[in-house]
Amino acid sequence: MNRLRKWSAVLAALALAAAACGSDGFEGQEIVVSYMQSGTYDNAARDLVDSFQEETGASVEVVAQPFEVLTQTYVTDLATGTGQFDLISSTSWIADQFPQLRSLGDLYNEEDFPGFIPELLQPGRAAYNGSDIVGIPYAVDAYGLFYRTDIFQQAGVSADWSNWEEFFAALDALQPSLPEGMSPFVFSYGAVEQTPAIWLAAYDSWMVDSAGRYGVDREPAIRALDILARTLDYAPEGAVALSIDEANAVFNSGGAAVLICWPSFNRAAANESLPGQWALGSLPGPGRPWLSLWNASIASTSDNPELVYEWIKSYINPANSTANMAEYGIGSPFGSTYSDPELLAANAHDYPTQAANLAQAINVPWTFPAFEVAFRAVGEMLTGSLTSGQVVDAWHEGWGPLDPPGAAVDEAAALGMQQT
Amino acid sequence: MTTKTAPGRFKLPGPSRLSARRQPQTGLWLFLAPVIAIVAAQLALLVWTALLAGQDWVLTQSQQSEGWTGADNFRAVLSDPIFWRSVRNTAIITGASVPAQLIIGVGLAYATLEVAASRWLRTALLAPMVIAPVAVGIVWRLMLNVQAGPINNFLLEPLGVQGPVWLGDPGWALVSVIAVEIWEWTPFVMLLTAAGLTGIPDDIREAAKVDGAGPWQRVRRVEFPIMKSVFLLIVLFRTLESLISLDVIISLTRGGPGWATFTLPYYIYSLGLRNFDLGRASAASLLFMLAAAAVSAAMVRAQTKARL
Repeated sequence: MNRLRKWSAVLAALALAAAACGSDGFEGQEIVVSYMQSGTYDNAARDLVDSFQEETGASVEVVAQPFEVLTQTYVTDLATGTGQFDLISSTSWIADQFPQLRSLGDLYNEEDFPGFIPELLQPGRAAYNGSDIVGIPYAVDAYGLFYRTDIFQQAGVSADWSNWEEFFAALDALQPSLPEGMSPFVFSYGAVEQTPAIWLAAYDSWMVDSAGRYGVDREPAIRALDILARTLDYAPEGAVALSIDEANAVFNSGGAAVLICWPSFNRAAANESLPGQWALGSLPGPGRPWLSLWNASIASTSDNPELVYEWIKSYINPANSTANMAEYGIGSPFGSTYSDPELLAANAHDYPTQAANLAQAINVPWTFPAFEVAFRAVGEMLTGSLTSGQVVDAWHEGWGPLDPPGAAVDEAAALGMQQT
Repeated sequence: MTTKTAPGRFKLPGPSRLSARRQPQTGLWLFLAPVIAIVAAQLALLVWTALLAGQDWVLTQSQQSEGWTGADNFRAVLSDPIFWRSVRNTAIITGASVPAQLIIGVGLAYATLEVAASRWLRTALLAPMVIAPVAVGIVWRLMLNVQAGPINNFLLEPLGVQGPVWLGDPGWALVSVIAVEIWEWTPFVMLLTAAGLTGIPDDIREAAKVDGAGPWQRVRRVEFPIMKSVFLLIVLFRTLESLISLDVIISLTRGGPGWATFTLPYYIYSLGLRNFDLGRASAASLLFMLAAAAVSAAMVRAQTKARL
């Protein structure tokens, strides 16, 4: 992987040198770039600082904050026009602030990002304000399914399903031959904000009504909630309280044959605990996998947008993104990463499906207040306090006073998730 | 007429009676100024919150208020079932944890009073109080884990008891929050009670003993009445602290499952810092403040009565 990183640094340096020659120079300029504090995105940014500063003569400050703080900071910063950051790591959670991000129309050039997975740059995935692109994806992940290849093989069960009924049939077929102490399935039900992942994969209808208000198609939504509740029947005792890490640990320690999770959170651990014993699969339909997507955006208050764009190019390019995926597990938005011969040889059980999942995955067009209404009611259902029908009623009641931002409505429309 | 100056007394030279009277006043104002500044800042914030509570202002939609809405925000908060759920949860957590802290804390204070190594023992018992509440929540989350947590697997299982799904069941999740509150803050009660008890002069105890009072009678008839105002102060502190407690709940249950442990501070935090609905968050804060002020006033009154 060192070879990859070296090449990435050389290419980034060349790109920067070319940019510096072509521009008026960035000597003395300063930018503040902001990432989620995760030991991955932020560290990958810090890796770039020295070479970027050397090449441009500018100075870069990397600011990292935990997810919840980061979102709050962004909203406060953008809504009040404070201008704390030049580069914002935008997600659909702050869609209502997309109008405060600078349009990249005059800077963005498709050739700057060769080999991007094309779906990721479409509206509904990348950040758009109306028809203006305001963010370029730099880290992507799609909800996937880890399964134990050895267990499936021993049981003679195929991990090939196109809908949830087939998935449940596979788990039923698996059950008699499972080793003692192993459950067919596990998921982080205790991290209730994650439960929409299963619901979304089982739901295939609108999420914003024809009037541009939050809502769902009642019957399909109830069916999808029932599927989510049914998965609990296959999970170990107490699974309703499991956090993401705890559910992942159950799978990695041999406590479950199938795990639905964010692959980037568990890839390294599963490779270490279960080498050669697991593979990545796709979630059953008719819904689609949930997309996690971080965009590099420029705050409209930034005084140095050209310099920030140079930074974006040095962070988001095939070589650097591939190196970041190998070193930090940051999901690359470039198709070439998943077909890199060296990486593919080591990750044939994982990368091809990951690329396919990414092409299918979608954002949820919810802002955080709408999201909270959704996942809290699901939590009530999983603990037996509400039925699936009551959950849908609670959603509609909770969403009633909320005004979806234009970007969220556009996103739903672009994904075919607005009621016609 | 001659003026006699008493030996050893200093007579101010020169200044008139008027300026002599002003001097202590200047000193008084110097002392009062910071107090006035603090009170003014508090009042200003309060007035600002009250003004915000009457505004239609969602920061994510507008950088300034979109107009005066009168009591609409209060009506919206009071008609929100989640608000009442959070009020109920807050009342349960505070109502259950504070009395338990008081009983256990007082018990521990007495238990360590006559122990030779009481100082060391109390220092050790204080440990939970000095851990950051966020860390407390995370540590307890691990302890209560059904799959591998020590409470179910190493404590209850050997006894043949099937431990509950602590954080996955609405009732047990509330119990977990209450238990963690008790664990964390009982040392505070113990500390203050022990300080109060050591402040009681031995003569009083001896006198009671001479009068034939047994140990329990001495505690009930002599020490508890003396300690009454200390207990009320403890209850006041702990009640207010418990009412505003948020960090443990965020790290332990995130208000879940569902809304099961969603408390009033969490509700206000969500409205203000996640939804950025400044108007409603201010209205909810004012309602919360009024309720907390009513509780405080009742306790201060009880404390004043206890002193008389």
